[in-house]
Amino acid sequence: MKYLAPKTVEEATTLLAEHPGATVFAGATDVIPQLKAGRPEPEALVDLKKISQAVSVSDEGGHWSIGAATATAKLTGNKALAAEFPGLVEAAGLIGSDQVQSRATLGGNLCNASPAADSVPAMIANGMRAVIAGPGGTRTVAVEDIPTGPGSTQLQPGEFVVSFELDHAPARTGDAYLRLIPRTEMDIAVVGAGVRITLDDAGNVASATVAIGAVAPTARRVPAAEEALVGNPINDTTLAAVAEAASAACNPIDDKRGTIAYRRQVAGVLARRAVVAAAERAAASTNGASNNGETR
Amino acid sequence: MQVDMTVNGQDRSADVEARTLLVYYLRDAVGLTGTNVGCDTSSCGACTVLLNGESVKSCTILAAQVRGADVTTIEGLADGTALHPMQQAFMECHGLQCGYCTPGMVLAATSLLADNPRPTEAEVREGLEGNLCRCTGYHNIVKAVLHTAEHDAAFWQARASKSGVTA
Amino acid sequence: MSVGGTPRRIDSEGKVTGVTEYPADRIPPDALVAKVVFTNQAHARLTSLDVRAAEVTPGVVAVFTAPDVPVNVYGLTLPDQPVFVGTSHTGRTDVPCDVSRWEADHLALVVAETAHAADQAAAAIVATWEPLPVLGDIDEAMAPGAPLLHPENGLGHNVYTTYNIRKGDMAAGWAAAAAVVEATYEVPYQEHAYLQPEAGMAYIDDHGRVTVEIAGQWTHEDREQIAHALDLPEDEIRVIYPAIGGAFGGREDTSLQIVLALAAWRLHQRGEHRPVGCVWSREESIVGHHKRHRGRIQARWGADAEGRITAVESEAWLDAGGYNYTSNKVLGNLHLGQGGPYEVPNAQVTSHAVYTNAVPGGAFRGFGGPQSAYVAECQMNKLAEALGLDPVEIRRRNVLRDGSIGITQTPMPDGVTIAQVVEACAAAASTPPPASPSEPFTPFATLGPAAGDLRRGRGFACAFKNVGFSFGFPERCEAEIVLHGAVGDDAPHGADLFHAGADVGQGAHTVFTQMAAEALGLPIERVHGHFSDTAITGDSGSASASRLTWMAGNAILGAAEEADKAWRNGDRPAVGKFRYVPPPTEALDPETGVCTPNFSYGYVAQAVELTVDTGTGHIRVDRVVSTHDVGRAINPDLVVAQIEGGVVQAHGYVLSEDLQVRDARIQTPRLSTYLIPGIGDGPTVIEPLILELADPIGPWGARGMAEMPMMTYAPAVVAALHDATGVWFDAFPLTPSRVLARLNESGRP
Repeated sequence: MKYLAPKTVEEATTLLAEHPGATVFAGATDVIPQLKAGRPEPEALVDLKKISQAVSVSDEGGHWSIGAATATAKLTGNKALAAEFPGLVEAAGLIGSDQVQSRATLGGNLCNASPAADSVPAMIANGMRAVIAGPGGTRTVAVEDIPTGPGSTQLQPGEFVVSFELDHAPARTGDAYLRLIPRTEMDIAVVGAGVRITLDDAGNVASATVAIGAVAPTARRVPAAEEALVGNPINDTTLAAVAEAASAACNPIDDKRGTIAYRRQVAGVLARRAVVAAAERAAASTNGASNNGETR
Repeated sequence: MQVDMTVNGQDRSADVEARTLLVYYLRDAVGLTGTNVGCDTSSCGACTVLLNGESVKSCTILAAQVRGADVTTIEGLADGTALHPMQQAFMECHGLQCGYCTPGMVLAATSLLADNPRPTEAEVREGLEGNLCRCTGYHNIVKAVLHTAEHDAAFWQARASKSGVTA
Repeated sequence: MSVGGTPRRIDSEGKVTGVTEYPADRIPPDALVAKVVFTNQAHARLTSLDVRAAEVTPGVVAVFTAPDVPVNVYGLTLPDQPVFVGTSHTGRTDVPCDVSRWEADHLALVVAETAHAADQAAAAIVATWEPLPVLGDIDEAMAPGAPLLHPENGLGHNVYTTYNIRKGDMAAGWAAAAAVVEATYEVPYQEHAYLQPEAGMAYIDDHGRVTVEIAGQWTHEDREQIAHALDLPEDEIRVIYPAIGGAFGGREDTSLQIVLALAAWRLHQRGEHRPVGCVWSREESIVGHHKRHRGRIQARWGADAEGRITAVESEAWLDAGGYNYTSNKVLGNLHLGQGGPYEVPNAQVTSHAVYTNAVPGGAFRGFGGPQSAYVAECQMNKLAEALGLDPVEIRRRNVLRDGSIGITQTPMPDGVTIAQVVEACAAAASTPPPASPSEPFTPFATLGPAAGDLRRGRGFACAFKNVGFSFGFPERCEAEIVLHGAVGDDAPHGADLFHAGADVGQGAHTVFTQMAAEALGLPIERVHGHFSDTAITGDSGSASASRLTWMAGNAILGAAEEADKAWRNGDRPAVGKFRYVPPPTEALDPETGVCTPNFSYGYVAQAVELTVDTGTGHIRVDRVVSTHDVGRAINPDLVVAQIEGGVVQAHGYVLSEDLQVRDARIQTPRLSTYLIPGIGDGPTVIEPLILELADPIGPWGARGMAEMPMMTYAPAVVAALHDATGVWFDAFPLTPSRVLARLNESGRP
């Protein structure tokens, strides 16, 4: 097994063409434990962390650009990003402990394609897009379309995610990510729920995105929950509809961490609570015009 | 492949396989056995070392990934014979029993205070969540970290301003 | 003063600087690498074994199998386990050695130049197996027609140990009862998860002894078992414990001891003198060593209108797994605890150990006590509920006191203090906890706005636990002290202490040094300890049964007196050796259980406050008051540390640890799937409360205490959960998934 560390996107695409059996990695916090657990060694490991474009965070005016191989510690430490998207940053902050945070990345969390990846429902809720480089140039794809099942993605041979685009949030918008694990730390989600809510001037929901994780082969949106919210106030009726829709959208497995019935029930509970948390943030939000043009 | 790095201030070089994990580079190639291995799944944190001052799990990183880096293990924390304040605090507050998690715990705590020299109890617990201990129930570990944060405040403030973090 | 003082641990500097050597650190770079090959068969007969390909794998030095073992059987309290499963063996045992009864039975030991070569050779071993019916649990093992796992015992069934208690008149007991509570309880496995996985090395020392450096709990017992399997005199075997990375009972039975000794010995015979080392992965550790027993207990208790117990009828089954390990002894402890720390006039108690093909059950902090204390205390709390009595008041009316006759119909040893412990705990729990300086970091952090779903509750439980070996098992502890000084000196200027007792992390060597200093009137720095090496220390017994401080203290007091006599006699150096033997105990009468089971007890009570999120089933323990009569705290800081550590270990047992076994195979062999508590998971507030009510025969009045925090946490949490939700939980662990399912099923809250 070779270890390769390209310094540019072009170099990386060339190396991947030369080594069709290579595995791309960033923080290695998934790939190394998998190798230790018996995953066959690839002919080469290609490390994306030396590519500057893949490890930077910048405000590009209309949107944020987040390098796919950026350590999540850099995201949780970015005050402007955390103020605008607290739910996303909290989700990124749940990927492992501090020692893991200094290595782990959003790109790795997404492309490892675990159904339980913490950052993915939050990325979906915020409408993030992945910029993919490959032999045919670059293309941009919605994050929710990347995973296709446990351990699989729509990335083609030789492709990798370089960065993410995240549009600035409109006014009166809030996001939240909640998850359940059996203990406080250092585990993967049994159920996760990412929600983004934008309120109108009357306090009704203007737009909503509800995504759930760990309860189906991939993280997925819950359109019925979103429809139940839009145009309505946050109250017991809409929250009950959200919970019911989230539970109904589950297609979970029975495993060591939780039963099917448990995951289904708790997905509803967490989706409901995440809506409440996101709506509270939306109501208190100062996002909007003041945020645009701010430099970091 | 040839892998060079600085370990506890000394330049080290070894010819290792690409698959070699940092922890085995340290234990087998460099001969420093203070860094312990407690699991195969990056769960326990016993192998925590400082990589350019930041705590990492040395079982979850290839030696090749950190070529040229500056690594500190538990053996390199003391200043000569003078123990580091964190080591002193773990001794005084009984922040250890069997001691197997201790090197990783001490280094993770050192990194924590370098970022946040006056943490609350909750921040200490949150900051050390990657390190498992089966003996102490963690209470005396938390106590040790809070103790040195208060008792050696000047040391940690100086440390924090050096790393660009202000309290 | 050394006793009662809180010096730093003598091992602390080494541990904070990384200088301390654990077994894996001792293995030199030139050592050969050994790999244990598990059978990977829960139940099957070996029909052929071919290791030729393994032997010729590049880098392989040797492959050892059953015929290499002179006496191919071992076992700490009952030799029923082959060292290696093999098609043929050297005899000297009735145990059929061609059957694998556990997935981690050993098939071979590969010794190679590198770990990679050892792995490749292990994969090249060809074994053929005749599958046998897998007895996955006690129900399958007790079903009519189940195959016998140990036909050699001649019993004709897999229930291989049964204890009884028959006391009083049960019919009269039921007639007098105003309330009867009855339930079937299921208790789970627990994995020790000491942070240091098994590791060790063996070599031939300068005196020609087969020497094993490893982490264990009883050097001399390890030596005896190695000597037995190798058929060598004990003095040709040496066992040394370097630093031990936790034990908790999990190192009481041997792991690598025998196979490493065998390898070094056989290689030496072939002219290969390099040391042989082996380090287990976490997965090998979890699959490859015993667990706290899972089991079932059916209990029916009656009490009169005043809350006084009138009858206890109880029957328990422990899943012993494929081999006994210490199950027969664990069972005795469980048996004794089935009536709780109470005066029980009428009792019919039966306890069974059952062979299955699951992982062996064995020693784990509490040694059967936590299982029966869970049941007894749940029964007591249910009686209180049924009679409308306060949980503390009902205990006040039933607890054992000085002069009480215990359930085995003999008087309790003097110094019964459970009543005082219960009162102190209840008083402390009724006052508010010290204010927390900051918002806690809790399991609820990522569960969002849950306010409407939260319920709070309080629970109480108490227990006793023996100190020292029980039921007639030979109990002793040796110590040696050497005093140094010139002829004519009034007092020695220093002393050496020789003691085998294992410091598994609890601080035993610090405490031994304190006790020796106190006994000799020397400052602690003047006492130099030499520990845990069979070549230089006498038999101490194990680091178990909450006995080590107690037994070692008495032995050290004796050795100090002997050394002082020699000193006054003019000997230089003055040597004092002492073997302490406590008051005798007796085995249970087979029919009635009548006996004097123990010579000393420790007493504990815990009060728990918790919050449950009824939306997710998550539980947060907000406070536990853990009250212990320790007789005399030799080192109060270390006593507190034992309480805090024990409470959090108990917290894992009750709430998050969930060893899943399917078809007799462990499904959760990693720390990523077997979840021990992290730093944010334990109780938000732990209040250790120490009483010092002397044990009349304890050294300086001390009692053992290390197991006590494990005893009562499950029933106290279950009582608090009942208080919060109105639902009883007759099984645990109380994982969120199980809690929610049970709440759903009960329709509450």
